[in-house]
Amino acid sequence: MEKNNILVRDLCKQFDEFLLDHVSFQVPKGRIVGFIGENGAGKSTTINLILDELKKDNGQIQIFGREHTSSSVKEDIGIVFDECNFHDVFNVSDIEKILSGVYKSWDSSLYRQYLKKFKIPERKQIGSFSKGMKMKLSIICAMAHKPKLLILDEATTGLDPVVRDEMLDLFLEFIQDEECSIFFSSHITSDIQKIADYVILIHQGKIIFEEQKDDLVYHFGIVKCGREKFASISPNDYIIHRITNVSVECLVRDKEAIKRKYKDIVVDNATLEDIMLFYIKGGAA
Amino acid sequence: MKGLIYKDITIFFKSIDKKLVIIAVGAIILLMVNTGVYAGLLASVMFTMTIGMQNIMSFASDEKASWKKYQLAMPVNAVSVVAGKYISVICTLAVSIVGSIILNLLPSIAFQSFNVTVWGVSAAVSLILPLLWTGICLPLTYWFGFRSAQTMGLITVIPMFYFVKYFEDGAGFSAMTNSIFSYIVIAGVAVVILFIISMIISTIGYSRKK
Repeated sequence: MEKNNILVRDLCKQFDEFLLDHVSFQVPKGRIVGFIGENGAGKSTTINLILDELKKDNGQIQIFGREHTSSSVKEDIGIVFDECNFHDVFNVSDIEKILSGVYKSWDSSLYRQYLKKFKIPERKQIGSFSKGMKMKLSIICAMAHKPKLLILDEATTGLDPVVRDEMLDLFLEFIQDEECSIFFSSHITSDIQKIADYVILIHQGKIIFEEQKDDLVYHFGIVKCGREKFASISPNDYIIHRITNVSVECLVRDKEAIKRKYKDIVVDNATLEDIMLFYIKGGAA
Repeated sequence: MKGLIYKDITIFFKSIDKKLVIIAVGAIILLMVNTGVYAGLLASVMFTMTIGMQNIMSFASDEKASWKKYQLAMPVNAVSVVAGKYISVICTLAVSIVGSIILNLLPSIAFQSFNVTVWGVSAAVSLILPLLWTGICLPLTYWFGFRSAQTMGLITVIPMFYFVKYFEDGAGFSAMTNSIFSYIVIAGVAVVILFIISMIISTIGYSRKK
């Protein structure tokens, strides 16, 4: 039985000034996979290739164990982009009529239930909605045909913390079904840190790491010390270091091991953002 | 496809531009005053041109909302998407026909004249023009974007302008022979062929991937 809802192997795509270079990763069933990286790193390109909106140059993409170009796989995918793609003149009833005519598995009662839960006005035109309301509606629409895979491309960007929190709770609810997964691209690492099981970092078109979030958050750490103490740390004990005006900071893979080995240095917890910045900025302070 | 047809028809009606309506109503009234018994025919031409324009406007709203990006992620193939668009245009022909009937009825009552030929030509024009306009503009939209379609679509306005001038300044309807219906049949067949070819070109344009 297929373990992954998305499987990407050696995916390549060349543009004039950008190369997506042998990207490989997987999105297991029942898991939320966060896809992080700075703007222009290749997140949206990867998603567009998965959705068959761009033509891949090389590599393999499978969704639910089938070739991603098969139109039948799209029936089980819910997609949310960074902007609301519904015309301003529509209201929620229009959207219901449109999408129920597109998705065989559209569930009108579930749609109405979500609308009520998130207090989306039924009679107003979408053009008069706030950004938060538009994104809520987009997410509701992506979930109302009961997909097995949710793909979110910067879906929480631009939302206020309250709305973001509501949406993250909804995603956690969605993932309770072990057959479902979420592939969640964002540069807001706090969202990923809150809900993801796995984290993939992409930088300049290349996958830098694909790790379990708990491993990253609980094991990675940041050593902060002076230059003299830094000289005593073996280069094998840290991944990347950066020298600031006042100190040296090192990203370490196993903070407990470092604490045991170097008794007199301070090791702080590393957030996903810290880890991302270390990998992306490298030695630059 | 059902949902996509509903989408296009809803946009057509809900996004009617008030400025476009005011311009069209003004032009129609002006024509009715100037052209007497032919007012129904000419007003129908104006009205159907407005329908064609409104269709183009609704195509534009797809671009504004980045709808294509969203639609590409849906379980619908390119043929269904494009066919849905063309079917929605065919559905709007009902508006065009109803408008044509009303616009012919008004001068017929006002001038106490009922000319079958004028009514027939009006009905034919109200069917042919939106199809012609869409047949030209939709492939352009799918290949080069809405802006180029809008510009090229205006080219079809030029023959209409001369058509109206012909009635206002020239020999007018009296110079038309009985063979007008055979020309209309030929024009109708040509437009149907154009519409089909246009649909094929649009499908290829929509299916293109970067």
